This record gives sequence, C-alpha cells and structure tokens, in this order.
Amino acid sequence: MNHAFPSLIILLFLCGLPGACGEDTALSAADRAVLARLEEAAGRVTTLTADMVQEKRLAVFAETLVSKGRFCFAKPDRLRWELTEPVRTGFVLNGRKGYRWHARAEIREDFSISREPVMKVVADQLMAWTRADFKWIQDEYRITVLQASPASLRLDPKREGMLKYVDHLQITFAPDGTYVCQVDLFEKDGDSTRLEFRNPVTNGPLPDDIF
Amino acid sequence: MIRTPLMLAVLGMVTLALGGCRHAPFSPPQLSPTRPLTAQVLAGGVWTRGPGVYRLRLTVVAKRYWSKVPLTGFMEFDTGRREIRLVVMNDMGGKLFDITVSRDAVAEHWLMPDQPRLHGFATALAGSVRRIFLEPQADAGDSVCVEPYTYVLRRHEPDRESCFVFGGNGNVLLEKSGRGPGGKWHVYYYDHRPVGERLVPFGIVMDDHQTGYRLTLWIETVRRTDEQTEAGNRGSGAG
Repeated sequence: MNHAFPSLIILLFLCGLPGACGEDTALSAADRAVLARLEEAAGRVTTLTADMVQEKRLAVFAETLVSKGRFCFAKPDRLRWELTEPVRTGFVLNGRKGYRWHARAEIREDFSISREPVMKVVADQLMAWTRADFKWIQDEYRITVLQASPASLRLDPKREGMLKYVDHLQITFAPDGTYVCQVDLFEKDGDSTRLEFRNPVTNGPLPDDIF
Repeated sequence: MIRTPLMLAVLGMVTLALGGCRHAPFSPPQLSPTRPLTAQVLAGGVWTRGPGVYRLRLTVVAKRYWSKVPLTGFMEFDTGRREIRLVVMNDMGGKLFDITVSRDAVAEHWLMPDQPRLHGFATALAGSVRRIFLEPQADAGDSVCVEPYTYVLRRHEPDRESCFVFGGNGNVLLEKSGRGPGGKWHVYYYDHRPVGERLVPFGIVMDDHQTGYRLTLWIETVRRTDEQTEAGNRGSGAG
C-alpha cells in the first residue's frame, strides 16, 4: 500500500530545506579545538544505543508532552529511532534504504531516501549529529561554543527555510565528548523540544535485526 | 439479563450493527436491555455536557483510501464554552498547526509556513473535531425511541437530520450521525472510562461519507484541569 505517512513528517530537522545561507562567523582557535575534540571523540564510536526521552513544551498550554523510546546507531550509516510511549512509532535507516512503522496507524512500510527528500533530510541530520560531522553542521548553522567541557554548543540556523520555525538549538555533549546527551530546540513561537539520551552504551554489540 | 435465544440473537445483531464501523481498532460496547429513559436524561449524561475544562493528548490517524497520516494532538476542551483549542503535531513533535474550534467558527492561530495543503487539512480536521465533540449535541427536545438494547434520539431540522444512539454501561453516547448540506457522516464512540464523574470515550472513529475519509482518535491521556482528575491510556497505548 502506498501510504502518505511521511508527507507530513517534517520532523524537527528542517534545516535541509532549500534556502539562502547567512554569513558565517569565524570560530576562535579555542572553539575550533573544542569541535575538533568532539569530532575526534565521536570518531571512536562504532555503535551507540541510548534510551530517549522527548519533551515537547507547548507554550500556549504551558504543558509538556513526554514521549519515550530508544535510539541505536551503528557506523557507518545504520540508525534506529524508536518511540515506545505513548505510541509505538519510529524508523530504521540502513544506508540509503529504510522502513518506518506506526502502531496506531498499523503502518509498516519500506522507503528509499533517494525517492523521499524528507527522509533524506532526516538521515543527513541524524547521521551528521551522531558522527559529529562539524563540516556539514557548519554549513547549516552558526555555531557558538557555550562551554568547552562538557561541551555545550548553541546553533543558530542559517537557512531561511529553518529560520521560519527555529530560533536556535542547544546541544550538550557527554563529558567525554563521544555522543550528544541533550538537544534543546527552541522554536520562534515559544514552543521547545528537549531530547535527552540516557543510559548510553558505546561500542557495544548490536544485533543486526534491529536495523 | 438475556432470557431467550431470540434476545441473544437480537443482541448479537445490535452489537454487530454498533460494531458496524468496519476495521475500527476498538472493542464494540457491551450492551444490556434498556428501560424507559427520557431524552433529557440521556442527553444530560454525555460527558461534554455542563461546565468543565479538559486537556486531552490524542493520537489521530487520518485515512483516505490507502493513505494514512498519523498525527499527535493536544487539546484543551472547555465544555462550558463549547470551545476547543487544538495543537496538531507530527509524531516527532513538529507542530503543524494550532487552531480554535467553536460551534460556528475556526480560528487559525498558527500554521506551518510553506505547506500549502495544510490549510485545507486543518479546516477539514476542525470540521471533524466539531462534529465529534461540539455539534450537534443530543438534546432534551429530541424524539426518543427505546429499542431493546439501545436508545435512539432523532432530530429533524429543515436542512439536516441528526441521530444519536445511546446504550451500554452508563447509557453513554455510542454513535452520532448526521445528514445535511455539510454531507453525510457518522461518529462511533468506544471504550468509555470514568474521568471524575463523567464517562469519556477513549476511542473514537469518524467516517465522512462525502469525502471518503476516516478519522480515528485515541485519547492517550485526559485530565480535567478545573477539578484535577486524570485518566490515561498508558500501557495499552503501545498498540
């Protein structure tokens, strides 16, 4: 069946939308050293799993919606993003292909990122963050180093497509810099989303059948 | 109490008819024999009657032909003012739109930019939300027909007809349907659970026969904010 499931999944990760880039701001030598250290630390990670807590804060209701799930990554390009509460939903990326599911909608369908631009955006974003690919990230965001250790970065989007929705992001890394442990996304209208990655395991064995 | 095989057969047929919403992911209601009740009593027992402010977290699946779109919703429902503020998100938490739906109007507070199809979708969803929660409402003035296992309230107006079916434990609203200039539609309510003193349906299916689309709603959590009562769908929500 040809579901339209992904057509409205514009996710948090909108910066891949086309649009003009703003001016970049040069980073200091100390800030470049922080990014280099994070990139080097992420380079040592071959697999990563973590519990995930997503908190969506809706300004209009002063209410926080909590979802929980699991995140798994295996180098070079396999990733599983899965929410289990309150509803089972998620997707798996395996190279340029993947599949997604939603328990309530009773959907389980394959996709190819070459045919679905939205999923390509998702794949590019998640892979860039998981690998700490700062060359790619700097094309999309103006980076400010808020704190060197544990590293905390502020990212201001450059592209017009994302500037319409997102004010800025704040990314907090684990003390050893090997993975992102918290992402805060602040939207223009006062809403925000926090993603926390808890109980991480790096470089542990991962069964093939989860991807 | 079921006394004869004939009554059992009738009950089976009624249950089948009420479960006639094909492929609904909810169990059909357990019906029991009726007794004389007035339209006023039945209409007054609907959870949306009277004052109250509820906050509901929803999972919504919009289906048309083979296409399904799963969404997350959060709404504040002021039953006294008969007004709903609704924020709809994709299942990753990305906000798609924020609207207020009342009996006769829709106000768009925010709509994701650069998504030209979203306005039409938000408008259609608002119309469905109005039919499910706000209008029409069963009324004391409706004609009532007491069937063996259900109560059927009907209202004939110059340009529309409305029908409400009550029954099951607590004589709750099980179905609502309408026919008129806005089209022909049918809403089914399932899985009623107590929230404070009210029985709230945790599963809802709406069929819009004119456009051919179906909306299925799961209430994941509901909280009455003016009395601080809460109920949830946790555990079964994993589907």
